[in-house]
Amino acid sequence: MKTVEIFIDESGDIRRRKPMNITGLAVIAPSVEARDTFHTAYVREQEAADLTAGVCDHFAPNDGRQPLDTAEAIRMPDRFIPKRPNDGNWSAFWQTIQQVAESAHRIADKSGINLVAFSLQFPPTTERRWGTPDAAIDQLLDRPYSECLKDVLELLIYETPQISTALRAPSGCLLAVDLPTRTFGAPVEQGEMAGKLANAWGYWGLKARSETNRDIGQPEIVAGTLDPADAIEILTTALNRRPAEPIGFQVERARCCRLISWSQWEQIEAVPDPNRKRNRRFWAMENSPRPKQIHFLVDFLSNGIFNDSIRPNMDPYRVWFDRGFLLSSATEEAAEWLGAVRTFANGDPVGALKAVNALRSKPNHDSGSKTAQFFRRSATGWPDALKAADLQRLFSEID
Amino acid sequence: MPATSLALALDLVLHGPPPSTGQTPSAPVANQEIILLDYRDPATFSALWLHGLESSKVTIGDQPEIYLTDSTKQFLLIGNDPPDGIFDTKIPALSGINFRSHFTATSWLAAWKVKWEGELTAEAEKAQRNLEAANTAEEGKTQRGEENKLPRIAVIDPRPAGSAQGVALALQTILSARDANGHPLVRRATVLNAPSLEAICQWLAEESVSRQARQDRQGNESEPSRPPRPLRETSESILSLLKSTIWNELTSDREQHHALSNVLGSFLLSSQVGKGQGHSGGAWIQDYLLALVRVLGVDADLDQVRLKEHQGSQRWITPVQQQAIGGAFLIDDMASLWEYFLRGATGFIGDSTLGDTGRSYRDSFAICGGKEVDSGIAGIPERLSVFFETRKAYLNAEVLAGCPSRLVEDFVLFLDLRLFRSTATGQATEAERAFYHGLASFGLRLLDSRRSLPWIDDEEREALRNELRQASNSAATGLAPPETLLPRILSLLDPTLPIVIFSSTHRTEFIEPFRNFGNIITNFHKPVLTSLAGDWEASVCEMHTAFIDAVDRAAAILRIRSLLRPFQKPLLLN
Repeated sequence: MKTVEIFIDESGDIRRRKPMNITGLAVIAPSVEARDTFHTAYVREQEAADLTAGVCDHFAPNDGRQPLDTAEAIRMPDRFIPKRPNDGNWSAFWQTIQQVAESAHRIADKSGINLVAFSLQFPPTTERRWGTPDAAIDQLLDRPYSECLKDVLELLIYETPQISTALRAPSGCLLAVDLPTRTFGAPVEQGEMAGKLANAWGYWGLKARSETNRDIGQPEIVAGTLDPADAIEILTTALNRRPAEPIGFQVERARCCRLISWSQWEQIEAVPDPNRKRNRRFWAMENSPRPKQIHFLVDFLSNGIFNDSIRPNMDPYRVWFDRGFLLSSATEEAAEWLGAVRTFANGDPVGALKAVNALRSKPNHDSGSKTAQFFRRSATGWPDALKAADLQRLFSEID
Repeated sequence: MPATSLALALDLVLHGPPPSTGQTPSAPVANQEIILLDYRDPATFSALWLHGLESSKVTIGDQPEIYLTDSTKQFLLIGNDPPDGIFDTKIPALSGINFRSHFTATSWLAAWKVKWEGELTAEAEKAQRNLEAANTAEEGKTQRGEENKLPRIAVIDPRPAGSAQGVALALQTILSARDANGHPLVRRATVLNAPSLEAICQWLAEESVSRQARQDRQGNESEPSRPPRPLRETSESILSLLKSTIWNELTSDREQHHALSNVLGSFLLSSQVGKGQGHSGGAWIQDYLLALVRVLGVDADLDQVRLKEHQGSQRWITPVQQQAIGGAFLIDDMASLWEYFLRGATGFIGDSTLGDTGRSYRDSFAICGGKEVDSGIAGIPERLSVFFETRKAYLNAEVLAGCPSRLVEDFVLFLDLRLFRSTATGQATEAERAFYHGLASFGLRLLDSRRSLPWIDDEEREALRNELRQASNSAATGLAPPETLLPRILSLLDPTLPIVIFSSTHRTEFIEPFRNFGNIITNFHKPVLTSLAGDWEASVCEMHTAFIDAVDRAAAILRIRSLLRPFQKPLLLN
């Protein structure tokens, strides 16, 4: 049985009116065994080269042990890839990431595995405020990026040929989705923190805490805006966007994982229990499934693409992105295209073509953009599906 | 006796030997009471048709002007058939069409009577009103009678009576008919078949007798019982009969493909879109035809009808519509004839570049058909088969034309239904049979393929398959006409190619088969001239509206064609 594992991370923040990229890697394996072999070989090779980046299931297995035992068992490596370069030498940092990527590519080749990279950029949008009287709580409740994640998953599962073909393999396929958890901090005025924390928990059930923003030194109310199990809802919603598409695969897992870098490991956490002093950072991910080590590569890939530090025309990224996509809803029209192909898949070809026509009619429409090319490939063969009534409607309804 | 010899002999008998050597035998003899006109002389023929129906005087060669409406003269038109080779058509599509029977001397005489009697009637009625207003009606009646008289004209046909055919025979019958009192229905005009010299002289003498009698009457003004002179020499109903006889003959057999009405329709419509430029050299057939139809009341501007390169046009569509359709392609066995109208109507003329196509307006129009020996149309089934093998989705102009074309895939196809000339007996030619056999074979292959054929469901697919199997069987009944097969097969093969049926037929059985084919547009028709004579202007307005509508619908289809293009599979399933 084939397997498709999707690892996703995001960079940027559309709630702060900045663009956001959702980037990731899909690991397409011919079998469960091949996949497991790949992950094992990958983490061992990085470990041997002192190039692991954070805690993963290799260092803290998801094997049901008590958290305290797990925490005690973690051995932090002496050398690792930090979240950002300690000496400020970004060039060397990205060369190291390149080295890790080449390692992943090589191991994947050996294991008969295809790595597929993807990235979708979203535009900075106006906050979609909730109707609470508290602006800070509004920001914690508002989760536009979870909607973006649904778009990306829909694109991967239904519109990315390498992935959709694997998922529809006659021999069956397992799908696994690892999303990033996410925390968000909203600034709070002095003296208001206690009330806001009480409101967040008592009214909304948000497990919020107080932190000081390291950049500006201001107090913030901080809460996770994606819990581990939220991935289930996200994936389910993405799948339900295509009710007419048959689903021939099984979902093996869908989860949000918190990525804790080794460089964050020594950061002080408020851990009153003396038994938790050792590996105290672990307690920040106590309730999170431990990620795969390759998810950290996805984290770097996401940042690199977002900051233009990774050029997608460089190998092995070029090979990976050729198998996936590098699209934009910010500078191109990925969202509209996705809406069109979804409409077609849901049995409304006329609506889909009207949407495409509306796209083409935009003054700055670029039919040669990567986004347009990607979706054209996805929509190849549409004309053959048109019936007489569809054509007649199109002839009369599109000006 | 040949007509020219007859003219010479009559000239000699009636006028004696020529006074000098400078006068050619065929030249009209002027300044005498009896004028001989050799109808077989090309210059005379052209002068009579091109000028004699428009003006009261004509000039033949370098001879003095002749006043055809001079009532003191008698004219003898010697010969009835047009001169040999007078109709140099210039257009291959016109070859094989019998124009000669419409341009006999009898036809001219009938047309001339319609024209000038009508003119004089109008003038007389106007004078009558004026005179009545001046209360001098009685005096006016006398004056009117003198002024409104036309000269006597006889056609001297050297052949015996009954040898004429078609319109010539019909007109001859009317011109020779007499009323219950023995008076000719058409006054002062006749056709004399194989007349003896005596008969000719007798006809000429009738005028002398009549003139003497008239003078006698005028000398006896006190005679109270004499009725007033008739307002016109020939009754209006007889003039209408002449007019309708000519018109019906021009247009009656329109369902036969090469009926003159098709040709005439093309010329008349062309006058609506052309911005004329005179052609050099002798007259063309359309010059004669339009002179004739103008007499019949169709307001066609002769100056604008020139079947040569447009010098500008009065296009029927807007520049926006031009851009929207991108080009036009005409398949018609008379394509060379209809090209002028379509080019003018669509405005695809001139060397400037059409939008961002990179080709000129001129190159944005192409045709297939219209040559005397035409492999373009005959080769269509084979070319469609070759195209089918390429597994491409969109037909291009090169496939349709069978030769290179700068039109690519986006254009409106104007498609005539009848693409072959029948034999004299109305039977299909060998070329036509081969065409439909090839088309049926290809159509069956298309139906059996895995291509998407959106315009037909399973039941219709079976019905069409049955049609195609019997397409070569002329005895098959209950099927749509085979002429409707090509549009339907093209429509199935390329469902977003706009196809405008460019035919004169309005018959249901030719239109109904296209009902479910969404890219076939049937609202425009070539003109049907049967009843148009008096209402040509309104008909043009109607055709103009239908043409605009057809182009708009074609443009809408092309928009979808363009929209779908990026999503076409590079190779279709066959």
